[in-house]
Amino acid sequence: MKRLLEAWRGSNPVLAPLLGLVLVVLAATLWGLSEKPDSPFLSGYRAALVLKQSAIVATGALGMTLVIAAGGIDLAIGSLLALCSVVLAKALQGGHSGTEALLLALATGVGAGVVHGLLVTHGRLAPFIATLGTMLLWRGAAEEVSAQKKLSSDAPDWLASLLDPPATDDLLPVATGVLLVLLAAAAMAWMLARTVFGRRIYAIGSNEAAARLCGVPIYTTKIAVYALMGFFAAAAGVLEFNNLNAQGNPSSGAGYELDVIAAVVLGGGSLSGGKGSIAGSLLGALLMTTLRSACIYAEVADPLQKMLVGAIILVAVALDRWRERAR
Amino acid sequence: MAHARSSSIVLSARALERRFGAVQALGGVSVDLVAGRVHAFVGAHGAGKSTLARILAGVDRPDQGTMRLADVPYAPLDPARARALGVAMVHQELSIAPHLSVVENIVLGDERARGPLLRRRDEARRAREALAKLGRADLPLEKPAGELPTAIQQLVELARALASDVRVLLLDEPTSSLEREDKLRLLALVEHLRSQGLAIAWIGHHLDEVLRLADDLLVLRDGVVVARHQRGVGADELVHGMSGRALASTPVHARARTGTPLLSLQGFLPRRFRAPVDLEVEAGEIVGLAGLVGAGRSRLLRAILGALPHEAGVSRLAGLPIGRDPRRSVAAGVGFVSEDRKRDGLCLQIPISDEVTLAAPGREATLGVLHAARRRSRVEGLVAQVRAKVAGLHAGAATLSGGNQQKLALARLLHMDAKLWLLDDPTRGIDVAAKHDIHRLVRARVAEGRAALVASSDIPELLAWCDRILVLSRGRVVAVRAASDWTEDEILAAATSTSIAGEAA
Repeated sequence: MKRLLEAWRGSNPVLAPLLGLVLVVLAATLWGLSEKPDSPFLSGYRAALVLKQSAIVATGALGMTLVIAAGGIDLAIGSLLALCSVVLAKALQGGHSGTEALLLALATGVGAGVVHGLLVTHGRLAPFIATLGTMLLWRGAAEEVSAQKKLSSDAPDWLASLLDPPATDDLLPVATGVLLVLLAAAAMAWMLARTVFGRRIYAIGSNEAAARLCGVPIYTTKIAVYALMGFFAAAAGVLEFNNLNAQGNPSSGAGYELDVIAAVVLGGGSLSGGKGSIAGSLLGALLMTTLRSACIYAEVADPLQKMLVGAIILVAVALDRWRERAR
Repeated sequence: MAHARSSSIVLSARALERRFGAVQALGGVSVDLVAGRVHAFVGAHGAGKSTLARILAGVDRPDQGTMRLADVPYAPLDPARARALGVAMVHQELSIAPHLSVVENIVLGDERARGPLLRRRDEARRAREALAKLGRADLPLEKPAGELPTAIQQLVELARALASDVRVLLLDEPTSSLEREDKLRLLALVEHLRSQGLAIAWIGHHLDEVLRLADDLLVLRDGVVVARHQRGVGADELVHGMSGRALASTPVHARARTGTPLLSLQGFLPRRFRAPVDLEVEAGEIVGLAGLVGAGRSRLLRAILGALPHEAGVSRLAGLPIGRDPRRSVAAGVGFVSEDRKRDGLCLQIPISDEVTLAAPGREATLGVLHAARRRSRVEGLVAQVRAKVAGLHAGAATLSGGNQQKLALARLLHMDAKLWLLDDPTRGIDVAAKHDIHRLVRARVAEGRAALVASSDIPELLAWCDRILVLSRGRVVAVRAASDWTEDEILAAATSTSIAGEAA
C-alpha cells in the first residue's frame, strides 16, 4: 500500500482521471453482467451518447484549462453559453444566414471574454468577483434578447445537426460536433505545449510576480486567455443549441461553469494556477458524463447520483492536493 | 570613482532620485559599474540599495537622473528590455515559476521564438550553456523548478540572467536564502564571473561576503552615498558609515533586577534556526532582539508563542510549558504583537472594543454572554491608558494611523494582562510621539513584574529601551549582553558577521 502511495505521488496528473474512468466503466460493466446481462454497459449506442454529452462540457473545459492554468477562474460561462445560443437563434429568426448567425454568436462570446480580461487586468478585479458580476449580466442579457422565451429557429442543416449521430456508413461513427471538439482540443494542447503564448499562460499562473520581472506581458496574455474562454463558451452555446433541436434557451447552462471547473480540476488543474492540461480536462469531462451515464444505467436515483458525483470530486481533488504537498 | 578607466565603464548613473510617497528612497546617487569588477552596495535596511539596483535593472524608474549603458543613453521601460540590453538582476526573493521546468524558467520572458512557435531545442541549448557558465551543466533541465532545493533555484535564476548576453549583473542579497556551503559556492561563482569581464553589483548585509568580494564599495544611508571605498577598507570604517549618526539618546534604565525567571528557553530550536537558544528572562526585564532581516528575530518570537514550530528544546513561562500552540500560550499569559499589523496583527475591520478584548473576551462575560457596559468602560479605560486616539469604539481600526493601531495591539495585551510581552518590531513606521508612548507603557508594565522580548531593526531604540540585547545572525544567537555594554557599531558588526563566537546567555 505504501509503495502504491509513493508511486501515486510522482505520477502523471492525467493518470488519475484515466484511472477513475476505468474504475467507473469496470464497475458499471460488472454490475451489468449480473443485473442486466442482455444490455451490457459498453455499447456503441452508449458510447455515442456519452461522447455527445461530454462534448458540451469538454468545449468549456478547453477554455477553462487555459484560464485556470493562468491562475484565473471564469464563473460566467454558463450565462454566456445561454446568451450566445439565444443570439444565434435570434439572428436566425431575423433572417440572417447560418454563417452570419454563427459568427455573431462566436463574436458575442469573444467580446464578453475580452470584457472579462479587461476587468481582471486594467480593472484590477479578482477574477472570481469580476465573473460573478458578469454571470448575472450575461444571464440578464440572454433573457432580454429572447424576451425570456425559448427561441426556435430554422437553422440550416449543417448548423443544426452537429450533435446528431452520423449515418451508419460514415468513416468515423462520431458526430461532427464531437470531432470539432477533438480538433479544437488538439489545437489547444499544441498551443499550450509549443507556443510562447502557452508558456506564458503557465508562467503567469505559476508565479505572476516572477513572470512580470522577466518581462512577460501579463495583461495581454490574460486578456487573450479570457477571450479564448469566451470563444469556447460561445461554441458550447452553439452545441447546446444543437442539443435543444435548434432552440436558443435563455435559461440554458445553469451550473454549467461548475461542471466545467470540476472537469478541469479532475484533470489535474490547480485553482492556484500553473497547472492543468487539455488531455486531463477532456478526461475529467468524460469521467463526469460517464459517471452520470453509469448511474442512470445502474438505476441510481438522481439525488444519490448528485451526492456521488460531489463525493468523487472531493476525493479526487483531495488526493491531488495531497500529491502536490507530498513533493 | 577613484579609478579613471572610463573606457571600461559599462553602466553609469548620474544623480538618480526616487521617492515613494513621503519617503526619499534615493536622493541623487551616482555610480559607475566597471567591467571585471564587483561593486558592493552596502547600507542599513532602507538605505536605498535595492532601489538603486532596481532602477539600474529597469524594474523601477527614477524620478530624476540619467543613465548611460556603454556610453549610450539608457532608460529601460521594463526588466525585459534591460535584459535585452545586457543588464540582468537576480532578486532578493526567489522569482522562480515553480511549475515551469528549469529550461522554461531560464528562458522565461526571452523566448526567442520563431513567430509564435517555441524553439525548444534552441532553448535547451541556451539553458545548458548558461548553466555551464555556472559549472552546473548537470542540472535536470526538464524538472519543474519548484521541486529543486532553494540553492539550485537560485542558480536557475542566475542562469536566467546569464542566458542573455549579459554585461551587467545585479545581485540583490543573493545569499539570504542559502546555506553556508551554497553561499561559498556562489561567492566563488561571482568571482569567476568577474574574471569573465562582467560588471557586477552585489547588494549584501553580510560584511564578510562584501569584504571578500567587493572591489569598490558604495555606502548608502537614507538614500544618499555617504562613502566610497576600495578593496582593503576595514569593517569598522564600513560599519561606521552605515550607522552614521551619533547615538540618538542615552540609555535610561530604571530597573531593579528581581531575580525571578519568568521566561526560560532551554535548547529551544525554532524551525530553520541553526543553533538552539538558551535564555532566561526575569520579571522586570526588557530584552531586545537585534539582527538583520532574515536573522530569525520574528521566527524566535513566533516560536515562543507557538505560531511557528520548534524542533527541539523547551520554553516555559513561570514554569509552565508554552510554545506548542498560540491558544494555549495566550491562555498561559503570553501576549504577542505582530510586526505586520495588516497581515496578522489586528483584525482592523471589527469594532475596536472587540479588537482590544479579542485575546480574552471572557473577562467581561458570564457564561459566554458579554456585558456590554462593563466591556465598554473597560475598553475606554484601556484606550485612554495607551493614549490611542480613536473616533469611537464601534468603528474598526482600519482608518487609524499606524501608531494608534499599534497602541490598540498593546491595549490588547493590557486587557489580557499578559505576563510576557512578545513585541515584533512594535514601533516600525510610527511617529516619534507614539514611539515614546509605547516605550513608556511597556517599561511601566514590565516594572510591575512582567517581562518583554522586543525585536527591532532600530538599534538606537533597542539601546535606549532594553535592559539586555541579544543579537541574532542567520538563525543563531551571536551574543547577549547588557544594553549598556553594547554600542551601535558593535551590534551592527555582530549582526553582519557570522564568525563571532556566541557568549553565554
